[in-house]
Amino acid sequence: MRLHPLCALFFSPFFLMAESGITEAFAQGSVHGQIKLFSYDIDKKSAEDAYANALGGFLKYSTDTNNSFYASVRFHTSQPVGSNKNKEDTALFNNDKNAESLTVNSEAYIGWNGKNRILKVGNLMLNTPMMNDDRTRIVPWSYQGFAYTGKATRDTKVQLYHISQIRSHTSDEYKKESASGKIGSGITMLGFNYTGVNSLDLISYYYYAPDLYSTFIAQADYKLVLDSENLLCASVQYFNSGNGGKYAERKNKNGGDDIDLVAVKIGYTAEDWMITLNYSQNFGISGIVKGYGGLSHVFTTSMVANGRGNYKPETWMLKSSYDFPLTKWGQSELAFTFTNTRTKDSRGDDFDAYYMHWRHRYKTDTSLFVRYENLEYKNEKSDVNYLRIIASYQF
Amino acid sequence: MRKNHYLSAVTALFIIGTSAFAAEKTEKVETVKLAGDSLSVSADADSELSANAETIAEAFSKGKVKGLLRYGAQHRDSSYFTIEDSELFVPRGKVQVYSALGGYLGYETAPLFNFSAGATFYTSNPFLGNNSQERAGLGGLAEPEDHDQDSYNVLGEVFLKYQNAEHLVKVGRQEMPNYRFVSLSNIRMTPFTHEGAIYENTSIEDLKVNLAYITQMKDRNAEDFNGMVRSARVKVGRVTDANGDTIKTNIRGKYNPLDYIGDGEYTGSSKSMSMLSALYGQDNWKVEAWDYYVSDFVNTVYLYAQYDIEATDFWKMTLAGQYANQQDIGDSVAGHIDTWFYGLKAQASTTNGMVFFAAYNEVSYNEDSYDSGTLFVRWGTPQMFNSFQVQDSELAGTKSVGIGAQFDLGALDILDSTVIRFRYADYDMPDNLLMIDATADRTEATFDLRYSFSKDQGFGIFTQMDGLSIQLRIAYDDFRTDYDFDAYKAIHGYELSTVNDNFVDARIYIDYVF
Repeated sequence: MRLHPLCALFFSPFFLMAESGITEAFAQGSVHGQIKLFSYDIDKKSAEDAYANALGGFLKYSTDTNNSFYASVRFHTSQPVGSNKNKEDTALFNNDKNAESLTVNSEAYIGWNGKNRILKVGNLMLNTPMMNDDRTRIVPWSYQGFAYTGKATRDTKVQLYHISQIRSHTSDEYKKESASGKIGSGITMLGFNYTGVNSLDLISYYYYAPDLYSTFIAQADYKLVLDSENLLCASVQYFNSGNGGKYAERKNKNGGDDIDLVAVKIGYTAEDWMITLNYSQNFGISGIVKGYGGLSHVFTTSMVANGRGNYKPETWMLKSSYDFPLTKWGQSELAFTFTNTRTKDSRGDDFDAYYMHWRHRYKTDTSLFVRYENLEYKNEKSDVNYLRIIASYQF
Repeated sequence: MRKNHYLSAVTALFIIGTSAFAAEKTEKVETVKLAGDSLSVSADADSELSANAETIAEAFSKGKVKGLLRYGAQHRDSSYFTIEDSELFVPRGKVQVYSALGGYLGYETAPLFNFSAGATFYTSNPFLGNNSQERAGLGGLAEPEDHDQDSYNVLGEVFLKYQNAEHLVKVGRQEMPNYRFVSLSNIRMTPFTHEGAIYENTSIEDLKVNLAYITQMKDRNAEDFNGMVRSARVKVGRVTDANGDTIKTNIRGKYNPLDYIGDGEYTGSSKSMSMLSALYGQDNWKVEAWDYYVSDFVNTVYLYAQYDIEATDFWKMTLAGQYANQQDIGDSVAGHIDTWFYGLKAQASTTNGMVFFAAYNEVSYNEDSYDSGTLFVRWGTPQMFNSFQVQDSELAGTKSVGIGAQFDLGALDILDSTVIRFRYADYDMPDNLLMIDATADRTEATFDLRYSFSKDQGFGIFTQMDGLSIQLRIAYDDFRTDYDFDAYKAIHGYELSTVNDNFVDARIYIDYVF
């Protein structure tokens, strides 16, 4: 990892603030952490059967974020504990080093707070549709570059990011490589979020990656509030990629230059339960499973099953969840998802999937999360059961 | 050139000394450590007991964070001379450099029923400068074999601790700053940390007893923990003659070659260290006895004594002695080891921040011992009084004399927030032609400067201080290179492959500690 472009910025707080200011910024700093125990079993009727247990979490420190300039650093670690089999398949550890323990610097940035705008430079955790941190393991993805977010008009938020290197969630090294392939000169993202129409959110992103492929995304979210406890929602999203560069692979399931996906979601949310019907159709050959990094934010996403694959999958997904009443022991949530995927290309995988989870929050900082999913393939692929048990404590 | 160095140093000492005696001050200054230069990293060992939390949530919310942001860089102009024949030296300049940004971030919970837990991440990242692969070797960054120096991140501490007024038990990965031969050696970007269990007892007044069982340790720039033999940097170090026969190794006596597969480093089963020590002190004297037992490898006994004399209200004298003995034990995985060293040191300090010292160290020369008696010191900061910036005075047969002076310029009313130190040592090495491990005599002159943005005075070159500070260090190593290699080859049957020439080692640390 090279930080040459960031050199001036790392020490800028020292130059921009007097020593007393620095001391105060650190004295008013905050620390956050998480301890997570993750047990993962991938049950396949073949030699690909895998399981592993991991203990880890993160430690994050930020100087006073109310200052114009501030700094933040975060480390994640995931350590194997107990017995395991094919643990590299669980994506919990460092797959660059024989699935040994993984310790990474996931955030190290200088932030600048302006009026309605913020600029971060360094190692970043992101949350955009095609570049995000994917927190479904212990160690997330992270990105090196800059991220600017600001208000362009009263109702319009603009994001401008440029990413030069990416660290996978199974690596401790920042590389010029995304989940879909090498990125060469990097990825530049321009995003808009318009909230000027009542009950309607309009979102659009454009990822410009000349050496890989570029992607356009548009999404509209409509909410109809019936009363204080009942809500109807409807959303539509569209992904389209093209301009394949020298590193683009059209058939890549994580992303290529032929993504052409439409997704629709309609749902109803009550006080303690919700149900949504999600649909997606990818008319392209390229998949969009991980996009440039993380997990792509497509409506048809379950724990493992999804409609983001390659070879023109059409997916229906019914999602529902129920919140149990709050007790002195905390609150539980039960969820169920059914997925039906059929591909329009003979090279794709057809499957049905059942997913359920039980999540119990003892307090806001302590939770136990049990997730199970069964994938039943319609071709010669063997069926798979996935079980994740995740206990976490945050401070 | 060398005369200019000496002249400058003497002139500076004279000017400072003249100023110092002009006005006496009585402000408290830090007592300078007599051995073991290392930046401190953890306040934990010396911290007062924290108040107990009442719930787990409170233990986490009232915990303490420790952090360091460090820019560190080092440049060493190591001009190796490759000997192509007995008459001609062919210079092959080798510059070693790293320039890095890193530090650590750690968190320890507040104690709950006297139990607490903690974890610390350490990191170092290439930053500015040329950190190419051919410039590697100093250990400030990761040094992979197949590409340039690179960043590393490591979970160096993760521990569970029990502590009350008299007992301390700590289990897991941890910094062990105060166990002499086992310590931090924090002179690059991040320190050594060790894995194991410790117990410290202070229930008897003036006596401290330490017990430790250490299974592994992490090198300064490593991401992995290794056993205590590999961490001691044991190497076969074979030398072959013109017929291809191995005629010399570092290892003497019987050993198992299967323990040294590959590049000659120890690859056998991991060995742990058991450590026991007792420290007893009164107002003006203290004695220490330490034993480090690495199973099937080596046992180290270390004795230390120190006596303070309040000569006047202004002057304080300190006399100290040290002795260590290393013997192989058990399966003797590094062959026969039978060596020792001793040292004597006299130090005079004043209440206004001046320190003058002189020390002598001698190491055994025994060709039946590993590397003819070189001591194993790589579990921490070398403890020899004449362990300077580059030379550690641990090599076989070294007889060293060192002198130095340190000035707290703030306390002396010369320049606030600044401490400087000058040192000079002469290392008389075993260089008789008949000696199989003969090596060149050398001298080292060093200059250190520490500037603090948070304290005006009362600190030393290696004092842990919150806030911003800058440390500059420079050493000039002068090697005697007029050795008779022809005669040596005639006696021992093989050639030395390289010999050092003079070099300069320069370092800078810009630290912000919070």
